Amino acid sequence: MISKHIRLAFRQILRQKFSFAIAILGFAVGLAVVAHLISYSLYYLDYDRNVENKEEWYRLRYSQIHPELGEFSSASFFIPPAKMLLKDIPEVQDYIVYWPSVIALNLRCDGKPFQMEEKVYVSENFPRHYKMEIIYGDPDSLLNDRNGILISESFSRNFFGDVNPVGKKIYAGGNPQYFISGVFTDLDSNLHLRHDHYSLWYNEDEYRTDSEEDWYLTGHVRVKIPDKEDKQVVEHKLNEILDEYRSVIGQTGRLEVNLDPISKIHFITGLKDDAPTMSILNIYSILVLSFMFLLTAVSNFFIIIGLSWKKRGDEFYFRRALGAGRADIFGQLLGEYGLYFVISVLLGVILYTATMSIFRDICQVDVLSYSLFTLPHAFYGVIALLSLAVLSGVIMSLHHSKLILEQSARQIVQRDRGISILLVVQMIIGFIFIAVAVSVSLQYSNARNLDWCWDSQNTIQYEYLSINDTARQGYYDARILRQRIREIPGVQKESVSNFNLVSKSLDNQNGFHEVEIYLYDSEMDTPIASYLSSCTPDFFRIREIELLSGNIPDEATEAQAVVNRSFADKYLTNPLGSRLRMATDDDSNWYEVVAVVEDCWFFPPHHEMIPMIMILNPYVIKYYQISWQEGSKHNVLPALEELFTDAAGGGVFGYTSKDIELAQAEFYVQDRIYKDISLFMAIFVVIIAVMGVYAVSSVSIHAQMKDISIRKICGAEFSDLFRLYLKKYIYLYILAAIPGMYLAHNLISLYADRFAMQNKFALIAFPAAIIIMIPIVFIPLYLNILKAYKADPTRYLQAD
Amino acid sequence: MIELKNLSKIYCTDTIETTALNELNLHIKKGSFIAIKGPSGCGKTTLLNIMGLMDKPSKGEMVIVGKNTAHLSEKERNRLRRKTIGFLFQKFNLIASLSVFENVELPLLYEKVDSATRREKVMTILKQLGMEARKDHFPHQLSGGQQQRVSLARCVINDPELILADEPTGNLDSRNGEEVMQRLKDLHKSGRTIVMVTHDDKYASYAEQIIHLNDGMIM
Repeated sequence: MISKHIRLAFRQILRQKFSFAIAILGFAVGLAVVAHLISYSLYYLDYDRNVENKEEWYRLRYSQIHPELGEFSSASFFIPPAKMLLKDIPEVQDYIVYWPSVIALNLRCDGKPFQMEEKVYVSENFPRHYKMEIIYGDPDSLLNDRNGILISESFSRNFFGDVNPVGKKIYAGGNPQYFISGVFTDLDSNLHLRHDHYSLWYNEDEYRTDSEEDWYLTGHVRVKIPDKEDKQVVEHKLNEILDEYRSVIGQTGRLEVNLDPISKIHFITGLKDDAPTMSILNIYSILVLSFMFLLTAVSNFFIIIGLSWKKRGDEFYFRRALGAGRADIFGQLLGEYGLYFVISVLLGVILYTATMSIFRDICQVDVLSYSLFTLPHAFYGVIALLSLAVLSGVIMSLHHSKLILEQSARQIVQRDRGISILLVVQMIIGFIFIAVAVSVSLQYSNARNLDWCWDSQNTIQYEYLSINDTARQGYYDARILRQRIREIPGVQKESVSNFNLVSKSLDNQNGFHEVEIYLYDSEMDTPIASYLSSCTPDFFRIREIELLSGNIPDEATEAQAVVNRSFADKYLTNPLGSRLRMATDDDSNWYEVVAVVEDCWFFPPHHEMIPMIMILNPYVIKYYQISWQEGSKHNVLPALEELFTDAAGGGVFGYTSKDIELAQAEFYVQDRIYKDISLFMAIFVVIIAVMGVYAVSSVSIHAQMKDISIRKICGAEFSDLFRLYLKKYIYLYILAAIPGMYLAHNLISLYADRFAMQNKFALIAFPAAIIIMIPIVFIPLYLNILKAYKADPTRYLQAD
Repeated sequence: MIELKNLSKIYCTDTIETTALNELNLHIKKGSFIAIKGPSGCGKTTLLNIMGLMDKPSKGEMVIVGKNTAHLSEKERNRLRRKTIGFLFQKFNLIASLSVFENVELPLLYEKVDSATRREKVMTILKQLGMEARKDHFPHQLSGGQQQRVSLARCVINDPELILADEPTGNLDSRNGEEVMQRLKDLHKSGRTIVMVTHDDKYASYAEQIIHLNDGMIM
């Protein structure tokens, strides 16, 4: 019997190819897209999944609460108390320390530069914390020696080929300094502290809790607290420790410790030195969108199959006349439904598999490691899908077997109402996706084309440590370096600063020092919080940052500073000639504001513009920005590499370089992914909505062919029929547009809230969605009515 | 009124050609009452559909109220049908979602008649047919005879010259069947041309002329 049902189901597919193509293909596409988006969301929701007993680990974070300046939270924690953790706080069972140093080193191994963008120091137990699988080296003594470096498999393969590199010496400034202590298999890409190399953090005995210098060191510190109840106890005890050492910590205001669960740390916003890896709101909105997407595909699937059964009313009538009962009809419908479902799921799996690498390229995360085939939850997913199939199949078959046999006028009205509701749902989803895609694209494009105040194309930034004026051995004098850069043919201009021009986070390591400043006032010194950095006086002219007022001297004295527009607007009524000093400097060390310059984004536009003070006489220079004439890139870059290799050759410090345009593009990776996903889904939604509206209106109109035929013999023209349905569809369209726009507005707000700089033009998304939805809804309707109008009315008037 | 010249209708499938009407020649004068009889599948309904401009012949010509229908566009056929022809069906063919009043009103609506005139005309005809009290009822609330009366009201509301009736008594009991035939007779008396398909000799006898159709040909 089942084989008969299946054979019949196949025949139905062949008879109604178009409708079934829409139903099955739409459902399959929906499943594939949703599977991609779920694996994408899981990738972020499951960050740091490989940590041993993940739920027992917390990151230490401290907040500095200042009565006048407000509260600042930092993801970095003081490293000196780390060693006290086990000794003084029994609730803490284990801890790890992680400290990345951004100072590039001049390292060589096997005669080649051994380039590490940053050197990462971790505590000895770090390999165990991340459950590293060791390929080479002694797992028990990987980081016992502070000169040992643990490298990843891919790093090892790139540098050493297939050779076991353990024991290889690494030279710093010509002297053997480090060695390879082990090789581990590549870590998952969704790890918070993922790197290709790790070195041992200082031996614990080497840093002292009574040393002010050691308290200056802050890094990522995690603690393991097996009992959740102890979390507050640990926070309390750590607060006591900070109170005890308050005098050597050197920060103002009250300090408060917070413990963040490891699974959530990469979503935490508002920390001054750790931007979230991904916005949790983005993840949730993507999950909501994918649910809606699936809803569209599933509703199309249900409607089309249900209506195809309706079309076969005669067949079921005859079957009933030949003795079939409701149970027989139910069995037949269930068998057919099962086949359609299985085909859709198989097709969905094939589509999903075939598009995995495409989706990975779009979202640029390793979704392959979160594929439906590798996830531990996949089994439950299959069970859920099967349950859905059985449940929906039983409900659909029961409902339709009853409808087919006992259809009453009331049920016809209910069916029409059901179709209208599904049409409205499809339209709502269409409105949402189109408005979101348009708005997100506009917001992205606006943020991407931000006025950077200076030419970001054709510019590279080198990071190399040098000491101005008095270069010590191992440093290359900045003035000589600048002179040599200018002599390279094709170089158009060069500038230097002590802050990173493309900084992902505004922290000390990028040259942005958030400090407490006193403004000189005749009455009293006013404390404020500001970012402070330094650059040479020619920096603004060379980088084309507009001078708003004042003069910047060619040769600055030590006591001169420039402030940006935000600083001047916020704190200074008459900025020129104003005086300020750092809270930590003595009372006589004042800087005079000599100029105000335009605000300039040296950081992602998600962050609001910062008030900034730039001292004009930097002692340390780290960043060299070099621009070349159009077409000279290929000559300039090799010459620069040669120059910096030479500059780094004599000392321990190395260099790194960053293409400014590419580095700026990195600011927007999350936004671009979200935009691409929104567009990607909007395109599919539009396709599915067009097919869905066509199919639904087709079947809906088909069900009313008799009425249409009667109207036709009563003299109705095409325009009369179109007007008749148009009225209903306009009503449904308006009914869908209102909640659609409301929901779209909420989703758009979630996205736009990420940016400090809001795009007013994004509002255009709403009329755009309304206009785009018009052909999606009304062209299928027009085509179906035209088809109905051209149909032979006698077919429907004589049959009953 | 209607002239058919060598009119044929052939239905083609992939493998079979079925001739529903074969080289038919017929002249129906204005004001006549014709009954078409014949066995099932002889082409009666096909002929009626072609006369009603709902179907097109495969070969031959049809002239209706002086117009050769071969060269008419879909729009012109529509207009001609709306102004000239009224239909009466065995299954009544009322729109379930419309009330009695709205069903009868339909042809006037498509004729763009203003609302007041529509109301007046519909109420007049419903009164004539004794359906005035049922004007707000829906088809499923009416008996078969009442439904056919509504269908008849809709058929004549536009005052058509030609009435095509496809077994109008087929779904009615004899009392209601007689009543419908009486109405058709009255319409004929008032000058309308009536072409009726029927199986029943009793009802065929109301016609002035009976045409026997067999295998698509007039016998």
